Amino acid sequence: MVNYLKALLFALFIVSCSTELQNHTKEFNRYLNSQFNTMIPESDHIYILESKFCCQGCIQKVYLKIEEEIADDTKQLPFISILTYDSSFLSETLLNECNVLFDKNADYEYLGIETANITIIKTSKRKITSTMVLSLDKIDVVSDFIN
Amino acid sequence: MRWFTLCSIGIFFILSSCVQYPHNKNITYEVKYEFHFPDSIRSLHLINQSSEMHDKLSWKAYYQQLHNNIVYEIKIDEDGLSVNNSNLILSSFYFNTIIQTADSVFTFENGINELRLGNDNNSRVKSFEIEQKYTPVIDPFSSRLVRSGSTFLIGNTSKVIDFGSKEGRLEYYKKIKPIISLNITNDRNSINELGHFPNHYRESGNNYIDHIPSSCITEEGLICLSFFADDLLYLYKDTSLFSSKVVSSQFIDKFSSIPDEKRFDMLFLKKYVIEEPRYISVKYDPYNRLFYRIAKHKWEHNHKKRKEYQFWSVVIADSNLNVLGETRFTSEYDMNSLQPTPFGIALLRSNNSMESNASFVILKLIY
Repeated sequence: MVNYLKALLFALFIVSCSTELQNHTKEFNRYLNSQFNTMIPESDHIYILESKFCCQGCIQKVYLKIEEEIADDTKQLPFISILTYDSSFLSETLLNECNVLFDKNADYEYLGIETANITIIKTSKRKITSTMVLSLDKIDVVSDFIN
Repeated sequence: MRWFTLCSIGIFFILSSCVQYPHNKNITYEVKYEFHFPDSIRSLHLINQSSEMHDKLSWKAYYQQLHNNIVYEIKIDEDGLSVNNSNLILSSFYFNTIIQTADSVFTFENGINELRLGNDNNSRVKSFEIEQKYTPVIDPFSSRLVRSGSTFLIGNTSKVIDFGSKEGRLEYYKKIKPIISLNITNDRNSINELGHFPNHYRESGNNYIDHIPSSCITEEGLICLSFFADDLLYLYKDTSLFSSKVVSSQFIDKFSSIPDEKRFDMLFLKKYVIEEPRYISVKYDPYNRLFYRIAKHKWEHNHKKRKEYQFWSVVIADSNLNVLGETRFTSEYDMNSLQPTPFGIALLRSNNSMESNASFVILKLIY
C-alpha cells in the first residue's frame, strides 16, 4: 500500500512538472512570436535570460564562460539566443555568434517562468525541456548546463 | 478553575488589544508643480545634492539617465520650472556622485580610497585621500554619497570579516562603525568613523542585507542614520550618539531576515528584496527642519504579470525626531527620487522604461 502511494505521488510529480513545462512552452512561444516574430525552433536551442534582479559580476562571468565555450572548436554547442534588456555586457563575439533579442522592458520576466540573475532555458523539438536559475554559488556550472 | 481560565483569556485579549502598531497622523499632499517629460526622458536617477539650505526662491537638481549617460538639470526659479540637458559628462553613477556646480563634480569610486573632484569634462581637478585603514564603500542598494558643506558621508565596511555567516555578522555588527565622515575644510582632510548597528542586529546576527545605513546631515552638523530593519533613527554629534527615537511606519509590523542557507539563492533573494518591507532611506529637509524617513511596505511578487501599483510612505519627524505624521504613496511615484526643495518635496512619477508619461512633480505636504 505504501509503495503504491509512493508510486502515485511520483507519477503526480512527473505529471505536474510536465504540465508546467508545457505551460512555459506555450507562454514563451507566445512571447517570442509577439515580440520578435519567431518561435522555439525544432533543433536544440538555448535561451539565456538576463534578469533585472542580477549580480552584474555574475552576468559578466557567465558571458565570458559562453565565449570560451564558443571558441572551443572541439565542442558542438546548441545555438544560443540571449534575451536582454541592456546589451552593454555583450561583447562583439557574443553579438556576432549569438542571436541577441533586445527587450528593454524585460517582459520575458513575466511569463510565469521564474527568473533571477541569469536564467537558462533549454529547448528541443519546439518545446522547453528544462529551466535553471544560476545562483551566486553556481555560476561555474553554466558550461556543464549548456553543453 | 473555570473562573481562572476565563480571567486568563480576558487578560490575554486586553493585553493583545494594547499591543498595537503606531498610528501616525495621516498627512496629505497637493501637487504644486508638474512637468511632463517628452517620451525620450524617463528612467531618471536623482543625483544627490549637498543638503544645506539653498536660496529659498530657486532650486535645481541633476538627474542621470543611465542608458545614454545624459545628465538633466531641473530648475525652479521666478521664471518657473525648466528641464535641460546639462551637457555634463559623468565618469560615474548617480549614487556615488555629487554635483556642486556644473564644473565641480565630486565622485567616489569603490575600491579607490579617495574622493575625487572633477570638472564638467570629467577631468580630475583634485583628490582627497582616505587612509587605507578604512574600507569606504557606496552600496547602490542602500547608500549614497552624502554631502553637507565640507562634510561627506561614505559607507564603511570590512575586507576581512565574513558577512555571509552568522558568526561573521555578529563580529561585523559589533566591530564595524558603518559610516565614514570626511571633512575637506581648508584642503586638509579629517576622517572619523561613526555609528553602531542596532541592538537587535548585534544580538541576533541576523542578515537583512544591510551593512551600510542610509544617512543625512542637518545644518547643525548632526548626522542621522537609518537602518533597513530597525524602527529607530539615530542622531550623532561628531562620533557620539546624541539621541535616538522610534520613527516608525504604521505600515510596517515586522522584519524578516535571510536564512544563511538561502544567501546564494537568487530566486529567494529576488523575492525577499521585492516583498519584504524596509526603511529605504532618510533625507533631511533644511527648509522646514524635518526628517523624511522613506518606508517601503510589504509588496507582492508575481512573476506571471507585472505588479500593479504598490505602496510606500514617508514618515515625517521634526528635528528632535518626534514623529509628526506619515503620508502614503503608490509606487507610481519613485521612492528613490524624493528630494526636499523650498517649494515642497520633489518626486518623479511613472519614472520607468515602460511608461511614456514620466513627470516631475513638486508636492506640498498638508499638515
